[in-house]
This record gives sequence, C-alpha cells and structure tokens, in this order.
Amino acid sequence: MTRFRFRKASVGERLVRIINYLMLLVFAAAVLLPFWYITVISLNEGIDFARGGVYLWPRAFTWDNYRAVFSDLSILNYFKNSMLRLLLLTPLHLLVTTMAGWAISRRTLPGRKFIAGMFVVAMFVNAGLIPFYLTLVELKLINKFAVYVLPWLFSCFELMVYLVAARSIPDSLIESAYLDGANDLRIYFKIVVPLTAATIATLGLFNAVWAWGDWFTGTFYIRSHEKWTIATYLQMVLQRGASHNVRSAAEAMLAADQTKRITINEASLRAATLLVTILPITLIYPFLQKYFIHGVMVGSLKE
Amino acid sequence: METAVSYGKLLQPKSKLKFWAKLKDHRWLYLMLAPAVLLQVVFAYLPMSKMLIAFRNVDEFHLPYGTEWVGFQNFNFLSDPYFWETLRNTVVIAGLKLLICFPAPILLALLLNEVRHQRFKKAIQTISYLPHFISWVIIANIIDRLLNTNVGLANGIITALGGKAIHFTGSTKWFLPIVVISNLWKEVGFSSIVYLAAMTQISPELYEAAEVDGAGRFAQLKHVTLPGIYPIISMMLVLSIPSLINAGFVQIYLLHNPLNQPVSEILDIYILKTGLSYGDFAKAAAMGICNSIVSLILIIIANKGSAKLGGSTIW
Repeated sequence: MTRFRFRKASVGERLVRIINYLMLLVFAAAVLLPFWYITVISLNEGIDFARGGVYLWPRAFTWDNYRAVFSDLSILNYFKNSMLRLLLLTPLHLLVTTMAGWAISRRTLPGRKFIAGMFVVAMFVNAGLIPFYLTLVELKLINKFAVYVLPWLFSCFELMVYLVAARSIPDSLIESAYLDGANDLRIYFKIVVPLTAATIATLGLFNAVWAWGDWFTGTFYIRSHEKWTIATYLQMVLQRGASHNVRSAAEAMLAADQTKRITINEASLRAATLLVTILPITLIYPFLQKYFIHGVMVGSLKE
Repeated sequence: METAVSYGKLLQPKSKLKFWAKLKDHRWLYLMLAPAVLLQVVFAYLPMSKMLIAFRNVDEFHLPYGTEWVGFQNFNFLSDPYFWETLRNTVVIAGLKLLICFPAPILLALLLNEVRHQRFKKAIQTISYLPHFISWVIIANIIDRLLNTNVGLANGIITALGGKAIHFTGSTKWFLPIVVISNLWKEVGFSSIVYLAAMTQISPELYEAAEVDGAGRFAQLKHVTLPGIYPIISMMLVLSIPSLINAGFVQIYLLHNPLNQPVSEILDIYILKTGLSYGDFAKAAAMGICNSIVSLILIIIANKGSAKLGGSTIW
C-alpha cells in the first residue's frame, strides 16, 4: 500500500520511521530467538550443556543428539503414529466436511435448514469432557487407533467456512452439469472440488497442523505407549521427564558404534526431538502463506 | 416456499409433487451429508445424554451410570471455595489475555502498515507467523528450557547482569507473565493478518485528503487508519468473548504444575482432574454442565453484541 506524499518527510518523521523498523527487527529477533536457542542446545553435547553457560552458540558441537533421535526406535514409532494419523485424518476430514458443506449449500434440499440447525447447535452446546469420554468408552474406542481419527472427522466451523466458497460457484454451471446428465456426486468431484481447491487446501492445512500437534487425544484416550503420537510423547516428556528414552537412545547408539562415548542427556535429546518435529512445518508454511491468509479472510468475513 | 432460484425446477421429473420422489432426487446429496450427520449424532449429541450422570450417584463400583438419582447433590461443588478459586484463575487469565493479547496484533499491524519496503515487511510477517504453526506442546517444552533455573537462557542473562537466578516455572508470581508473554509470542503475528488486511482496504484517497489537511503520520493514524479498521476491531472483540470461559486450556495445562497450581488451575483443568484423574465422574459432569451453560450465555451475549455493533452474527 503506497501513500502519496506531497512533501518530503521531516526529520521527526524519518526518526519515527527508523524506530519503527528497529522495533520490527527486534520483534522478529524475539520471535526467532527461542527456536535458535533450541537449535543450539540440540547441536551441543548434552553433558556439556548441563554444566551451564551454553546460550547462543554451541560450545561442544555434535550431531550425536540427532543420531540418537533417528536411531531410537521408540521415537521413530511415535513419528510413524503421527504421520499415520495425519494421512488418515486430514483427507477424510476434508472429504466429510466439504461434502456436507456442498450438500448444505444446495437450497432445494428438503430438510436443509433442520440439518444445518443441527450442526450449528452442536457447535455451541458442548456436552462436556466427561460425557464425551464416556461415549468413547461405550463405543470401545479407548486405546484404539481409531480414536485418533473418528471423532475428529467433522468440523462445523469449517463447514461454514466452506459454505462461503461453495456458494461462490455459479448456479448456471451446476445447471448445465445437470443437463449433461451428471448426478450430485459427480458434480461434487468433477466441478466443485477443483473450483474450491484453494479453500479446501486452507482447511486441510489447519486440520493438519492441529492433528500433528494434538497431544490430548493420546494422553487421555490412549493407554498403550506404543500408540502415542509424537505430540503426546513430547507432552509426557515435559510433564514427567521421560528419562527412559535417553537410556534407550544411548543403547541404540552404542549398539551402532561401540567406541562412542555417550554425550547425550535428556535436555539435548529433547531439543533434537523438538527440532525434528517442527522442521517439516517450518519449511513448508512460508510457501503456504497465500492459503492461510485467504483462510483468515474468509473466516472473518463470514457472510 | 422456495423463493430462491431453484435451479433444479426445470429438470425435476414429473413426480416432483411427491415427497418421497423429491427425496430420491436428492439422494446423492443426502449421501454426502450422511457421514457428517452420523458423526454429529454419535460424538456431539449422544454425549448429551450422558450429561445426566451429573444427577446420579456414581461411585467406582457402579461406573459409569451410578445407582440412583440424587438430584443436585453433585452440584455441591458450588459451595466449595476451591471451585471458586479455579473460576477466579480462569477469569484472571482470560481477562489478562484480553487486555494485553487483544490490542497487540493491532499495534503490530499498525507498525507493519507504516513500512514501505515490501520485502522487509513480507519477511517480518513471515517470521511472525511461525509460532502460530508450532503446537503448544513444543512451545511449552521450549519455555521449559529457556526458563530453566540452572542452565536456561533467561537466567543466564539475569545472572550475567548481576541478578539472582529466578525459579520461573515453579513460581506463582511468574506464571501469569509467562502465560501472557508466551501467548503473545505465539499469536500476535498470525492475529495481525486480519487487521493488516483491513488496513489495506482503506482508500488511499482518505490519506491524501488527510495530508492535504495537514495531518502528520500520527494524526493520519488516529483519524484515518483506526476509524477505518474499527468494524474489524469490534467484530474481533466480540468474537473473543466466548473464549473468556476457556482461557486457553491447552496452553495452561501444559504450563501448570503442582508448584504454580494456586494460580494456574483453571476450571477446565479442575474438571479434567476431577473426572479422569480422581474418577469422580458425576461431579465432573456437573461442573461441565455449569461450564457449558456459562459459555452458552457468553456466546449469546457476544452474538447480540456483534449484532448491535453492526458486525456479522453467527446466526
């Protein structure tokens, strides 16, 4: 956005502008600093880190922490669970939610208002955590992998966001499709999805970010450790300081190379795990800015 | 009844007068709705029937439905002072967040709006979005590292400046600042998107007119920019009211520990503990009912408020 200037900026205004730029720079540095700190810890020998004094640059550089992360089978298992959950949940979630969104947007559908009302009411009236938990118990979902997927397949809020996109498709297009003999399902897959792809991508992004970071499901609805996702694992480590992982990681490394001395400890291993967990999203999100900015706009403009 | 353009009217078969035939016409749409409806019934409406256990006598031998109806007996938590403490914690945290974390994105948007250099602006923005995509689990772990009493960066700086190391994570005094600052760090960038977008909608002619009238930058800000984004601000303000009762459960749960419990235990955590940790399902369900009622009231207030201010409403 450019502003037309009739006169040159005064000294005061130039000063303000410099301060403005400086403040933004400091802000950006403050945002990045914690991540940099964790990177430093992850690249430093754990034992050395425990002595204190390692802050902005690794003092005893090592790749051992990352080697430990990738050689420790239990951590890789948690990554596998997270990936599996993501690959199952997000596509199905998008399918269920956008299909329903498209159907609701068709004004001739009998009972449409009733069904839409059903969705909206469920958005606001929340039965509470305990009833939800008891329902899961009754459905025998507790401690099954399906509990990572099934309850989260539909989101009313996302349906409303998708409605905006669905309504933007011109009726004439749909009419001509009917004339050509297509049924609603075909129309959805062949016309609606390609046209609303941007919105679908945005919803998918938000769902994926949520699914990757959701630790609650694994902590409270799952009992066996092997079924944890990486998010639950990190939460357990945070709350309980899971030192048994350090031992298993150390053993795995020793098994690979007998001559190595063990330099990892819980802090450095955790730092490396953290970084590996956030690396994918960190590398991807700058390229998806277009989508989530679009999503924010649609979500806030509503109807 | 249907006054909107019914695109299908021309194409409906002659049986359009029959109700069932009409349903049959739309069978694919119903199929497409079926999974969503089923999921809602199972996971949103079915649990509602379980809310009734709040009125029953539930002990560990008669899970989960208890033995008999006991009326409002399980609601005696209302006289328990600890319950009100958790409620106070919830309100304090939510209020602080509203006070500090609501204006901050607006400020950031104002700062960014003044930047002419597009690359710089884009770079700062991209960096500022990053924490939003990192889950609280990660951030809580990072905070744990940063504020570690012995080796953390924060205490490193403090001791270098000559102070004594502060036990951040276990202190009740520092809990609120930690919560607010970490929430700020995580969300201020992403939340500023809305305001920046609103600012770009303001017509440059208004700024030109202000310049001609002799307005400097601050005056322009006060008289053109802020009034221009006022609708968005009021809408976002109203939308944030329902979260008052929530106070950011995920973040608080991850940051709370037995040491800072007096200030960190919010209502949702108390309900969680009562139900899933201590196993007192009935009491937890009762508290959940209270919680739901209050948040429903808040949402209704928010919706009415939004309608009054001319913003969009939810229904």
